[in-house]
Amino acid sequence: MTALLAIDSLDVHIGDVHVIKKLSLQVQAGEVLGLVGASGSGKSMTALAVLRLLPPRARLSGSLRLRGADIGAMTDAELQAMRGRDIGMVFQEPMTALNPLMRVGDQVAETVRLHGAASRAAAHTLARETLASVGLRDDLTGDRYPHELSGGQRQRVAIAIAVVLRPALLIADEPTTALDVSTQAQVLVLLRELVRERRMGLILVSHDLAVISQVSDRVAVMQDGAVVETGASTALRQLHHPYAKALLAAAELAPKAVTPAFAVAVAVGGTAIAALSDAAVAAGAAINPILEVRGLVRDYPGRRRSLWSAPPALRAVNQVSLTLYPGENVGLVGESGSGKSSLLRSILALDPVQAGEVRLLGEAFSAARGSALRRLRRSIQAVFQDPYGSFDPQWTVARLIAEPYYLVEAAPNAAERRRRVAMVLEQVGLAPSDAARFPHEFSGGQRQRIAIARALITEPAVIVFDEAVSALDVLVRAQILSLLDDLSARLKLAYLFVSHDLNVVRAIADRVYVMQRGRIVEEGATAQVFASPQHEYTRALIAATPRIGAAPI
Amino acid sequence: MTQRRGGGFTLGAAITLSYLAMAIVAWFWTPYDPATLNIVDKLQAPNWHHWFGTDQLGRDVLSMIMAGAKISVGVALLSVIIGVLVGVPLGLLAAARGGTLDELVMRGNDLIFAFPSLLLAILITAVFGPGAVNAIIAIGVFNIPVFTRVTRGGALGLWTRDYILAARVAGKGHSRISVEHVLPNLVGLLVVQGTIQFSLGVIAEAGLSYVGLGAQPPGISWGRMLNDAQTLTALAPSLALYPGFAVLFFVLGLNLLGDGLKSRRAS
Repeated sequence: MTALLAIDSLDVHIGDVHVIKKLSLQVQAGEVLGLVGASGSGKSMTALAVLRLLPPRARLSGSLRLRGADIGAMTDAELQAMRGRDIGMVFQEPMTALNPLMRVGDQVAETVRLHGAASRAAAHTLARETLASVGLRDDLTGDRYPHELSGGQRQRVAIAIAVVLRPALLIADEPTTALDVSTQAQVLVLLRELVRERRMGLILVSHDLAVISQVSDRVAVMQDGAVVETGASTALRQLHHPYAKALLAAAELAPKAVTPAFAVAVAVGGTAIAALSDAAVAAGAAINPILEVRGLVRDYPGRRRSLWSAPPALRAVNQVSLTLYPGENVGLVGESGSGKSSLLRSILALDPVQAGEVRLLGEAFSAARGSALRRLRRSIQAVFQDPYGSFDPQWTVARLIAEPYYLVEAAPNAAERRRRVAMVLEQVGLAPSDAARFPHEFSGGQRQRIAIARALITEPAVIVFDEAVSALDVLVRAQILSLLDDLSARLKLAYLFVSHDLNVVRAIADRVYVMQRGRIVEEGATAQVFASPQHEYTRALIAATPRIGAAPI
Repeated sequence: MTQRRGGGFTLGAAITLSYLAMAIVAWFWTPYDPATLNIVDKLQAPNWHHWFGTDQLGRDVLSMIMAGAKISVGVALLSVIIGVLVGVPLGLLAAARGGTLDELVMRGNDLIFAFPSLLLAILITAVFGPGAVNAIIAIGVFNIPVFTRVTRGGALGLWTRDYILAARVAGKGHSRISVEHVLPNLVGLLVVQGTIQFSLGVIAEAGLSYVGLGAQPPGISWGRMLNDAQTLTALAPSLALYPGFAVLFFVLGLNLLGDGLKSRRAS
């Protein structure tokens, strides 16, 4: 039986860089091939090479055959006819993959019309049917514009565009990386079903082995432009290449070990006192929370309905209370739109609160002004999601890291500053000489280390992380998490760690809060919440989180 | 592609720099005194003594073009400075504060935009009398809303960045963040806009002088030279060409420079 897609010793050069090296792969009809590797390993380049969509300066050699037809020898016209009809493609970013000015139904129909496959009316009927088959059954969906749909719905539209002409092969490049877990699970199920129903071949590209293992039949591990190992998804643990093992370990973050003191506290039903030494517990020391949020409400003004009445309020955070004890690592999980980021901004006293209060070190923080506010801010610092947007591109690393010294009234002199910057750089695993460089000279993971260094410089008691590892690929994510764990233990730091990724939260947090639609719906020790979730939303989140070894969906 | 872009930029920069050099030289030296009348030598064709010839009053045209460059550069430059000094802080303020203040600033902007520039120039002239200074004020006032808009637009984009959030976590207030983080990252954008406004200023100055609202005699301006030449089109049609081409090449150079800067920023 000839393979649906056969790639044989493919080489791709871009300029002088050899990006794909002697790559050979096969995909059968009805088979899902997972292509996994860290960023820069050549996964996306391989996907683009199959479609001959490489950048203009790229040179390609080797053989690419779809059902025996040589893709490498096709003319531009043949390629255009082939793309969309024989091979469909789904990209990572559902936001930018669709035309914002066109109704989504028309965008699906456009693919049909471009290939001259049907009349206008038939194309629209086909578009409607395809949208229904990707789960957008509402008759009105086709009439909507992309901005009226959620991220998951947009990705469904992108999939509908890719499969409307029933291509033999579908390529999905990180199709769920921009989505949160529940949506991710739904999209993965959809892809799997489409493959089953239509006997398509599917190449699923991802950096996350856990995602791949749930959907694919076979996995190909890529490193530096070459496939280093292939194997069945059911036998991932038998992979023996060191890089494959590293990816597997990074995808399967180990849950955080429970400290003895914490276990005792949970067992006796007391307050969480993770950071206490056993001796302190024995002495019965009274522990004051370091950060306390009480009944916090955050409203945003909604769209004004009339010129005279005040606009209705959108309640992003609704009566939220949470507590953080010294040295404790607390996770806050929830889907995008659950109000996590709004809560964080209020906790950091960046946004005003409409009701409730935030207390830091026992003092009112949300109501503090002037010098009291500055003094308290020194004790709470933050690390944000985007490693590329977190730094002023014109500032040196030294100046960026020292920025929070603005909060310190008797700021240290220049020599002392240099010494402290060098110290925090070493603490996060960078070299003191990096202080003179600019942020663009660093990789995503290194930038997140710089962001952590900036958060450490004022010796805070609490650091707040807003999806701080979500933009990193699995290997780097594992390194940053272990760095954070180490820093927390050494410097007695308390963390409030916000993420939509339960695997990440489980790896870092002693305790978790689960947030849904602006409210905390569940809280408890991490191990307990994961082992026996009480709220149905928590159960749904845990079920949706991809795990290696879980039943394939 | 990059080669072609670089070419436009280099040519634009070369033209602009030579005009600036001409203006600076004219400050200290011109071949003849452009204000001295010499009726005997009137309306000469270009020759070794007068490269561009002489006008109906016997003045050396080359010297007049050089003196005109001085006025042209001066008026355009000062009006851009007025626009930057007032418009940029307004734009930063509107972006940082938002709400009612933003609304007030932007609606005030709309008001100036909606007002015909020539009308304002006539108004100012009616009150203060004609002159180069009034041209500077009239053109400068119209630069204000342009710079306010560009600054506000760029700043709003920057305010959503995480590094601004980080600066707020570091306790910095709106004005400090505007000065330390927002303004430095807008410099490129403002230089491009400044170049474009400079070229518009050159045209506006020529236009105002042409209708007699700009520099007054004995001051010399390309717009006035065009006006003078118009009455002599039958007798010496080439007289209109020199100031006309002076304006044309200057504006062309500035636009090439602006486009070059813009594409350099983009890449």
